[in-house]
Amino acid sequence: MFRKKKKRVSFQLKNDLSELAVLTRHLEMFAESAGLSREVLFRLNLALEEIFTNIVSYGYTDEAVHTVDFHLSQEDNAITFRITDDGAPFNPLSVDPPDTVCPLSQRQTGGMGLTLVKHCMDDVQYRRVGGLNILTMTKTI
Amino acid sequence: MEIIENTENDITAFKIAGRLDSKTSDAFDRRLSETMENGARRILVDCSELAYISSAGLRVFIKAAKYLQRAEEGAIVLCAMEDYVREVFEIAGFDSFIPIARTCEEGRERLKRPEE
Repeated sequence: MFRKKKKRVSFQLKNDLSELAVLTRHLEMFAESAGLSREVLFRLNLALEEIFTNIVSYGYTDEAVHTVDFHLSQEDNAITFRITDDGAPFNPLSVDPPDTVCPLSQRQTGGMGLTLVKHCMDDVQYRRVGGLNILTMTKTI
Repeated sequence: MEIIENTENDITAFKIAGRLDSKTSDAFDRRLSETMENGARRILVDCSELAYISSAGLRVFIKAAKYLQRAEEGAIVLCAMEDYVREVFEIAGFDSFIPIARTCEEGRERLKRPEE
């Protein structure tokens, strides 16, 4: 009998970089139950960290504690992440990639995060719905 | 993350074990900056136990490469990294500024000053 493989994990993090360790722990457990390789885990971790770090660093101007929602799922060979935050509207797909071929002296030190996300995932979609940023990323394994 | 530093024959070698992410990279950045400000100009970074790096970690290396480019006889070489770590440097195009040696011995060779 053909059985579909399905897995879902949801969790919330506060908008604080100290939560990165928690994010990694959740992802590692998800990867283990999904039987993902170290390389795939590395790339998924990179995509999630860059998105979360952007939200924490640029999403909020107040000092309040906010919650970022993560929903990780696997259906057969597709891994899908949905990240929802109530920060300032931000479409990561609208950011121009940095110049990666200019000389060292002109090279920016930052700005590589979203380029890495696009490299690590096969598809990235952004929506703004009712005051929320909803980012959906998919990787086929 | 753990950082081990040792200086031998005017090469300062760092070994990074663990993760260089947005939370941990600052500690390595401070350590590396302090070492360079104290005069270190030939820097080797052993990445054999570097399990993970994100854009925050990349930033530390490009900052160091920029500093050393302006300094006289400054050079940084990374060595012994996993393929998927190396890929991050390649996507960012940083491998054209920062030599990545396959082994630490090869890295040390690259950092030797030319014989006078």
